[in-house]
Amino acid sequence: MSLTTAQHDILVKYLKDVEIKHQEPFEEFYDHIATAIENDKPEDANTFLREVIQPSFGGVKGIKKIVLNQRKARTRMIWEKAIRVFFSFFGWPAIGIVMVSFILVQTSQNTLGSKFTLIASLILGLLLPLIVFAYGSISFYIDCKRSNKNYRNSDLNSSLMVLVHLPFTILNIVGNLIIPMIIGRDIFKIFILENIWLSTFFCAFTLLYGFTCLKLMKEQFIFKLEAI
Amino acid sequence: MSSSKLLKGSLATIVLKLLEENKKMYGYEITQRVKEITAGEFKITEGALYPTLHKLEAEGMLSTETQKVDNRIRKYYSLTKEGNAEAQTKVAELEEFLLNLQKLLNPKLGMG
Repeated sequence: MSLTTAQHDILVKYLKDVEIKHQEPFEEFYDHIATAIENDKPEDANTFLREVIQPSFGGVKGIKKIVLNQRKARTRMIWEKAIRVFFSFFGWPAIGIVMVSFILVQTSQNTLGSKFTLIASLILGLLLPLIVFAYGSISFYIDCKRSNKNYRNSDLNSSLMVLVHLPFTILNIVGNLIIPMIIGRDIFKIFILENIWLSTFFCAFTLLYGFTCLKLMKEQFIFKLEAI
Repeated sequence: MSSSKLLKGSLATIVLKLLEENKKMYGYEITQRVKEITAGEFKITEGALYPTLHKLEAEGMLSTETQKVDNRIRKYYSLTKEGNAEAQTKVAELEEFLLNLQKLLNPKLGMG
């Protein structure tokens, strides 16, 4: 027996009231509570939600705690996976990617200059994953809207957002706050452009970070809703 | 002390054991299965079950898959290879603990 439209509406409103707005917790809570309603067949779904379901989850606080802890665990899992993917580039045969990155950066610095190489590395390593991520998130949002889902985002998107966005935040803080305050922007520019090995290492690291993000998105990031 | 407080410390073991026997289960099914086996004596609250499931999943003991059931998405949990080994260890540990507890609380039974 499925839920009636009225029961479905009450359940959706309840989940929105307790601020469950992301795909994963929404689907899990919805299925759990809907199954409970179908089995218990309460006369008043609203009272059942407030007096039976809500206390068994530990109240609204309990529900929010479950959602928050799950999100934290997911973020931790993604970071652990990202670290594993990053270091997998240093094993055989992926070490070839690292070697090619270093050779490309070195060749580019010798032929096109350090400034160009630095900008190109930043675009490829940091901006490209962000564009792919933005495309995926927007596609997800549109899919949800078209399918009339009750959520527009997912925990996975939020966790990946941190991973993709973090280098920009670090560069912003370092470039606009720490460097101007401590050594001065112009001195730093000369220092980084003249120390070719340092800039090579930085460019190669940026590219590898980009590869890691892209590989992670390809492996774990489900952009579209799966029709099962 | 209420049985729910005693149950809390063994919840992960109970979940692992149930999943070992049933291959894959969803949250509501686990709560109902426990109620059914214990004839309503044990009641697992959702507030305790889901953090346990999510913790075991994050530790790599459980894997998840989703299926569309009655026009909604259902998340099934199942044991990973590590989870299977952990289930056996945890159950053995709990059995030994219960045996020792039995010896302490009822020495006559324990001797037998």
